[in-house]
Amino acid sequence: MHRALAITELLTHILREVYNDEGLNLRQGIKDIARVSQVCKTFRDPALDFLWRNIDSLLPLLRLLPLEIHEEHGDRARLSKVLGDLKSSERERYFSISSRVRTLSFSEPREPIPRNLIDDIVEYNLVLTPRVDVLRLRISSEAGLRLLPAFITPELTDISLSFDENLYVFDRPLNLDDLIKSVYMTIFRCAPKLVHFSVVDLHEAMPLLSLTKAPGQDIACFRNLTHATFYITAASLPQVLDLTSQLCKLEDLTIQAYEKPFEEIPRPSSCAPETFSSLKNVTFDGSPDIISRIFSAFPANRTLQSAILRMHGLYTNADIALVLLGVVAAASKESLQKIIMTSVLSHNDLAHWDVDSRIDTRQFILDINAIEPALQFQNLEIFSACLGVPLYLTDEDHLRIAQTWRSVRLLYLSSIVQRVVWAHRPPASIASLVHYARYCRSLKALGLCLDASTQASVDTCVQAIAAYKETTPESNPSLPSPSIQMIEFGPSWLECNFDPVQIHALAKAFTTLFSNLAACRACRTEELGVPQAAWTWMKVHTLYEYILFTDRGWSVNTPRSAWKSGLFSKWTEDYGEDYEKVALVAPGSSVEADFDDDQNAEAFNQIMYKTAREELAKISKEHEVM
Amino acid sequence: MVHLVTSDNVEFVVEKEVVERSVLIKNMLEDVGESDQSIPLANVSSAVLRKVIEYCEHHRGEPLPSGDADQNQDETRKRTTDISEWDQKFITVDQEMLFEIILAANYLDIKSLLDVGCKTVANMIKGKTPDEIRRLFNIVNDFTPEEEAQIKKENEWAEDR
Repeated sequence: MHRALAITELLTHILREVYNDEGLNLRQGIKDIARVSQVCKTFRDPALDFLWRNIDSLLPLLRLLPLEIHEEHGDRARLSKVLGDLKSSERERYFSISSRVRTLSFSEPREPIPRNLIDDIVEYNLVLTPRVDVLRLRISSEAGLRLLPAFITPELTDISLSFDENLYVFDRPLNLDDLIKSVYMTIFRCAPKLVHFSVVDLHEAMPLLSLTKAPGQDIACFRNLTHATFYITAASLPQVLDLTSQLCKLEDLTIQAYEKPFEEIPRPSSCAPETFSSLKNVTFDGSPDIISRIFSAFPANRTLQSAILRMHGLYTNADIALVLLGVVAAASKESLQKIIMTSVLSHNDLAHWDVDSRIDTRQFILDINAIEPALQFQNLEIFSACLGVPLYLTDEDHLRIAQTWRSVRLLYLSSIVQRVVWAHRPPASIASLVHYARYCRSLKALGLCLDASTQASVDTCVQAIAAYKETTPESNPSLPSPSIQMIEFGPSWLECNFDPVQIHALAKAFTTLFSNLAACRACRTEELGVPQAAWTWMKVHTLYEYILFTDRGWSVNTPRSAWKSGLFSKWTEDYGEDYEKVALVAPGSSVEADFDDDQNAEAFNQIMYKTAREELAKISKEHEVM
Repeated sequence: MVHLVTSDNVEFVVEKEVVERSVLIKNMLEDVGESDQSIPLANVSSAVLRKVIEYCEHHRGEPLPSGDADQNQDETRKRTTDISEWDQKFITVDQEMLFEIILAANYLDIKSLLDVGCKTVANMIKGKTPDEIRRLFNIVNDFTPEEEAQIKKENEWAEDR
């Protein structure tokens, strides 16, 4: 054997590649590493460390335990009594393997453990995973609950606990509440290094858990627990808020509350002023009523940095405002940097919208009143509201938003929608872009819904630019904006086969407004009856880039590519600065695209669309939005 | 230029940019400053150093992995799942030379070369039985039959998957 293989550090490096647990060949990796462990004594321990590090079943561990068959119990296997001796070699042999386990996933419904084995494990006080860091447990029986303390160790940093329906319905013990409470308290008492705590309990209200023994005597997990996640019924809200309010290091709190039919949503009591003082990020998922009730329990002025609010369904201005008023009541005006709101319409909502003629869709026209409370957070860097239907904002609203959120880097105002109100024309014109380009000097990505389908809209924009030029000294211009890289027009209105004169006018306006616009995008909502075409925006954007190209060459910062370079050079030869002719041939809704490199207009459009999508993904990832 | 002297007393004169792919040498040069003095590499033979320099020359100018190796270990591993064509050709050497390159990469702290070497050995191991691995690397089975049976039993779940 080469001496390199006797160096543990190098052998571990090699075996990591054999195991390759991040890859697609995990199963093969496990087989390979198991075989490596049988090669020689030098290989055994490093290989076993990998083999047992992450296991997704409890059975391999249980198979390590010595069993005795008891005929008087109907041949049932029982744990060997030698395990009762803390110093027995059997016990030590088990620990020599089980202490290598760092992550364990155990789903009781998937791999039920015989009750008598659980009884023995509990009786012999056997710790199943003495050095585990991460536990993912799904419990479905009283025996499973009793087994759970056998996993909890002082090394534990992350636990996800899920209580199965079976536990509540088919296998419900008489003292279930006490057992569940005991499980929680065991975790909190015995895992002082716990950082992440997650619970899925969608069946009944959680027990009330007091983590404080006496003033100043807190329970171990207080010291490290920073992330808590709860998937619960609304009935558990008071208990969850009471529990989390006791965690003085808590930074990230996620609550997804599910409303059971005919169940009243409890109103949690207000928490003490010193609670939630370390909290930075919240993610709340539920109805506006639930989310606002969660916030109502918080003391005012928490130094939150981000609020992610997920709803499901169609809501009115008042509903959305209610949620944001909750944020306003709880969060410091200075600290909050990010608000992301979503509401996804279900198939039922969509069917209701489409089919039920009695529904007055106008009641779901969202406008500035929906997001008005958020304007109190002047330091916002990210605001995104994708609520299924558009926010119908006016030019004046956009001016107000741009003047208020001057630090914003990413602003999505209903750029992704599932339905629109057909008869309702977006009130904002292209002039709204002037406000964002002018006031939001850090803005990278903008999503909004406006009407660009008329000459009047373009004229308003040109007038706004002219007015800006008159009032701004040449020595200190803020236009064009160098920061805006991406505009998502969502369901904005824009006619297909747009007049080349107007395409030119729009592209020209864009060159005044933006110096680095890398991509435009719009959702394809033609089927919703909205007069717009995603490709037409790309036609505008292509011409915008071409104008910059002829004016400044490749000095602009928009992404280059071989096809673009080839096409622009050809246009320069054929049309020069006759931009309206270029507008006609620019790939977009027109099928008469004039370029000859074996691509058709659709293919060209696909490339443009992909560019826009990639640009959006890049910017969104950078700001952790998606 | 940097002067390197190998364990068999052969001197190599290498461009600084090339040789600085070795974190060990880079740190040495930073500590000592500009000097014409030779750097002795007692753990590396001339045949191996020649290969290492060939590798460093080919990869000159590429970004070095960040200093916090532990933190980025997983990500680096994902990025280097495959060995590039050139690296594959480069590392197609006899087993003795392969392990010597790994040792040299480890000593000189050239992480990307160490990854290529270890990945190559790992690829040789994958899909083989314990006996085949022993034969491949000339390893003596030092388990007793009882120990061998025990370890086989403990790990049989992995074969069942």
